[in-house]
Amino acid sequence: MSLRGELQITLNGEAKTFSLAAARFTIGRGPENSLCIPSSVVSRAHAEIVRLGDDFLLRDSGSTNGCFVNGARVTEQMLNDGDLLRFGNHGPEATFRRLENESSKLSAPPQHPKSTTESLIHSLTGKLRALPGDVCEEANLRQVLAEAHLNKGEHDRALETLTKYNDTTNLVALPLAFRASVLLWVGRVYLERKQLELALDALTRSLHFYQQASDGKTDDNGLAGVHASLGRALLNQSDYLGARDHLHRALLSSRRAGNARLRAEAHYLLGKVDWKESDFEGARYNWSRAARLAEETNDPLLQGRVQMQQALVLYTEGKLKDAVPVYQATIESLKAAGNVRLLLKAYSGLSRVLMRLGSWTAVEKLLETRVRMAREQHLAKAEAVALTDLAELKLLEGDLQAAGQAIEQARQQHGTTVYARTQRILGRILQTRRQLPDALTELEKGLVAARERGALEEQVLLALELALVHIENNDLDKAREYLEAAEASTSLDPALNLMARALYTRGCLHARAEQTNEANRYFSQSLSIFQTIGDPFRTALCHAAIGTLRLTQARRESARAHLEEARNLFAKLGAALESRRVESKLASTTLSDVLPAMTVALPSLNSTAQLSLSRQTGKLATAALPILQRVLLAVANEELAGVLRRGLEAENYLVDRVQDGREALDRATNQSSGYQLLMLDALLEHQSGFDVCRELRKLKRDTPVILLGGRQGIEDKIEALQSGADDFLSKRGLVFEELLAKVEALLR
Amino acid sequence: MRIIIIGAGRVGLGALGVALVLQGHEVIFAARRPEVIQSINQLGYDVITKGAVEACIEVRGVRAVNLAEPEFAQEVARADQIYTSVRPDNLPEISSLLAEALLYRIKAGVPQPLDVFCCENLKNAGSQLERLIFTNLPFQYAQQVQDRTGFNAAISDRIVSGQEFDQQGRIVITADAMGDVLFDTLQVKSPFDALPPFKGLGNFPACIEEKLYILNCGHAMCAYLGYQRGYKYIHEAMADETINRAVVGAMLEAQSAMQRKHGTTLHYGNLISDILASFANAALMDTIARVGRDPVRKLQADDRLIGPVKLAYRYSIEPTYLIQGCAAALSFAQEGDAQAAELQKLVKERGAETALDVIAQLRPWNPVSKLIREAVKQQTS
Repeated sequence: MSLRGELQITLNGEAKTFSLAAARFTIGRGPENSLCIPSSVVSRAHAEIVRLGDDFLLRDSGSTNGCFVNGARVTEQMLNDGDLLRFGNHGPEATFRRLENESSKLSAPPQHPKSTTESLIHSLTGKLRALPGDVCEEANLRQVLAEAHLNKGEHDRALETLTKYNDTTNLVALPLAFRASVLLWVGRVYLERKQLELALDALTRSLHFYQQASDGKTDDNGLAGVHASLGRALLNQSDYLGARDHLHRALLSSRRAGNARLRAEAHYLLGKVDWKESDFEGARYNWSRAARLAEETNDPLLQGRVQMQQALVLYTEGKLKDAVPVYQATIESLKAAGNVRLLLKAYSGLSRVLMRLGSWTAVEKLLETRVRMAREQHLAKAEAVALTDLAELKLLEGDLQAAGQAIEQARQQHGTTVYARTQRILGRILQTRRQLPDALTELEKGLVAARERGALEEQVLLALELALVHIENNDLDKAREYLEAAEASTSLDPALNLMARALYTRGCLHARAEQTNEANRYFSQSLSIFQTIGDPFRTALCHAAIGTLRLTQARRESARAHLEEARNLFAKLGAALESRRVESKLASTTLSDVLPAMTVALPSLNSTAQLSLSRQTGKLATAALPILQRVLLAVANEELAGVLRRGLEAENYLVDRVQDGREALDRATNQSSGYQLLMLDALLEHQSGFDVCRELRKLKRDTPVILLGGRQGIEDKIEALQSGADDFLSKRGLVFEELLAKVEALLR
Repeated sequence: MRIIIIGAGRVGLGALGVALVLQGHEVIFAARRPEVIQSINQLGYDVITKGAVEACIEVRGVRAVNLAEPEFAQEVARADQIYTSVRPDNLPEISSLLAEALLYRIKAGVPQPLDVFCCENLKNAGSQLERLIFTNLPFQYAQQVQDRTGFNAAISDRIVSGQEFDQQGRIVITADAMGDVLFDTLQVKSPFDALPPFKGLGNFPACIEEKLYILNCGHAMCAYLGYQRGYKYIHEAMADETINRAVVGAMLEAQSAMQRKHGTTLHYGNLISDILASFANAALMDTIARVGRDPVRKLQADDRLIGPVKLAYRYSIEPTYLIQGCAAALSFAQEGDAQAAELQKLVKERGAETALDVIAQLRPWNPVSKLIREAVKQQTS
């Protein structure tokens, strides 16, 4: 061996020198380490120095307080002669020395700049070609290289690096501890490539070797790594119990080792298990722990992954605006980590949030970047996902041709795999083009794919789309079937968005079945949720639906208000197609003679806005166009009539009063009197209020009627409603404010 | 009990805080301004009472925390009751912070119910706050919060006129010696013995309306009529015989209208002489500018001026004095009051008729509008 390295350190006032002869030299507080430093800032397994041919690589083992080389915090660094190493922020220091024999002293040793993943891969690949003689050294080299490739998201090259160990003879040549760690990395690579069976096989073997190798000294770092990876594999296989077991073991081992990185990883994965098992509290706890630990480790990749998860939670909870900054932070971290695959995933999440928030121009720009990046890196799947998003955007904007092109490209990129989301967007495009049977076929294909992959959200969305197509096809039974399936699944997922979409679909179903009241209720409910989430496109869709519903109810003013709201929202977003649809409804003959909405569509004012109205005095000048509303008051009792009349007058109504039932009927049927509302006492001269009301309805007069009775029972109320009245109030204990509210409701 | 008061302003310190401390509760203020927090934490504060009892109450041993810091959520998790006194404008803002803190409390697994009293001059204050909280909560926690938290309306009728720092940097509050804190008992989650000045009411909304239509109405009338005659302080206006008669007359008109509406006198109807005494309390040095502030809000359809007029009109009670107050409000042009400037601009450019239409929702053909316009004509001639 032409070259040796050594570490000079002062421990308890005594200068010591450690030779770095072994392929792997570990440093930590635990007695099992090659160099044991009994200091509280040093983790049990703090760092390792790996010999790679002529070079020495210092690697942080996920320590709590970090490793520093010449004052800079590092996770991996090739060491130069004279480098000052520090373990922990104010921790013990050691000096690294290269010792060379006479022959190699002639050539100056290479100077290593600050290591980056990029430079590491470069120098390691070079070394691998030179093929080191020692099998342990080679194993070290290959593992480090595989990790570097994984961190960059280059799964294929990582696998390539490790294929050597698929051959059992190569594996058996290694000592037990090395076999275990090599298999761990093989397992991790398979895991990233989503080859779960192979991953599980490798990891189980690795665990076995780790357990065998532990002759009194457990490699807690290695064990924690295996358990965490096994947990992840089982999680992906939906074996939550098994996953939980391994992750808890991973937590224990990583805590023993003082490995913050693996602790964060374990918490992060436990959070995912909790989430899958609907324990949202637990998930949030675990993710917050993971986030804190990730911050401590200074590992941008881990930070990025945890942040992405947090953003996703915000997204599903419907906190779209809060999700944006978290996604941005995720992107920063992943950029720093240089992992293109995950970066594209984060971009995809961000563009979906922005699309829902209505920032369509921003999304368009983002999509361009995504498609370009995916192409450059030859990531066909990521490109297809980006193209699908592009298709959705174009669909929302109403540019069907561009949407169709994008979706076709996306399908080409996917190749033979059927991707549920792409199918869903394709289905929606076909539906918009009125190719309903084709739409059904594509959506059903998507649903099958989503079920196979266990993608719950996608299943719900596809079922809802299918229901909508069936509604359009007038096949209400089929639609109901799909809708009910979707609703059953939404109860498993806390996503507000899905709930609102299900409500909207139910509204459409009832509207098609001409059950106006139910439809109205469901549309309003979904409207309020979409408003809360801040999803302008779907809010506008709800307004448009309610507006259309009002048209069939002949409530034209309200229809106009809702349709105008929808049109304004669509126009602001740039949704050309939807905007045109609403426009054509607004221009229809039934609406042309209605004054522009005098009653502002109240649902668009949330409670906050209503509260602060009193201080928005600037808006006063535009308020209230005077409307004259006439009420016929047919009440015999002088005192009551006086109170009602004066009370209504003080609220801007014009009131005429009669005492006689016949006169009331005369006035109400006389076209020229033009009453907007009749208030009839049950007790009138010549003809009771009930009879007047029946008579009026027979004559097809639909002026709203409030009947005032002397009794308080429910029977009288029912009789009043059966006689054609719109509401009934008892004169006993009559509260004027209640009466006024009913009047206003009827005239709304 | 451990009680949090959100808002360390006049009402929070001078009406709620001092009363709760005197009852022996642990009181924590949640405020926003660092100088206020620091001063309360280091020095406590003083309340100087005027009127029936003149004294200086030294309030010590209270704490203050910053609303926007995590410590607020921790305090909420340990609290038994919460009061808010931040002015209605600020409710939307604090409700998001409070929602977060309540969520923290739920997540911390605190099983005890919590009562929040929204002590604001606002109709349906409890349910308004509840709605604001729920719009700020993740949907899946709303039910838990609703099950464990009562949102109640409350109101303080103590007149607190001054808040300033003394030379040592301690907050000094000047307040009337009298005054109750009324709250709605309908939604209270964990009932407790209310000691004076706290008083629980079953028919709270009606009492609030009564307070608005009798006490606040009289106070506002006094300010607007006083402004017309060039006074600076409320007690000066009360000493003016014409104004005094008008204020008393208006309160009596409102009282009989309320009595007709409910068939009985509720709470404030019996306290008119006490209320008048506190208006006349010169030691409070309450300014007309403060009491008359925001005339546009005070002229709205159901607020303290137009509300009682409409009510009196409905029950055929001649609203002679009330009308005078409404007319005077239309001419309120206090300097530095944005709403007053807005109001004057509107009246000058488009006339009293349009102003009443736009602000008070009284259309030109409305008999109440006609009465007020006549009174305006008389006052200007």
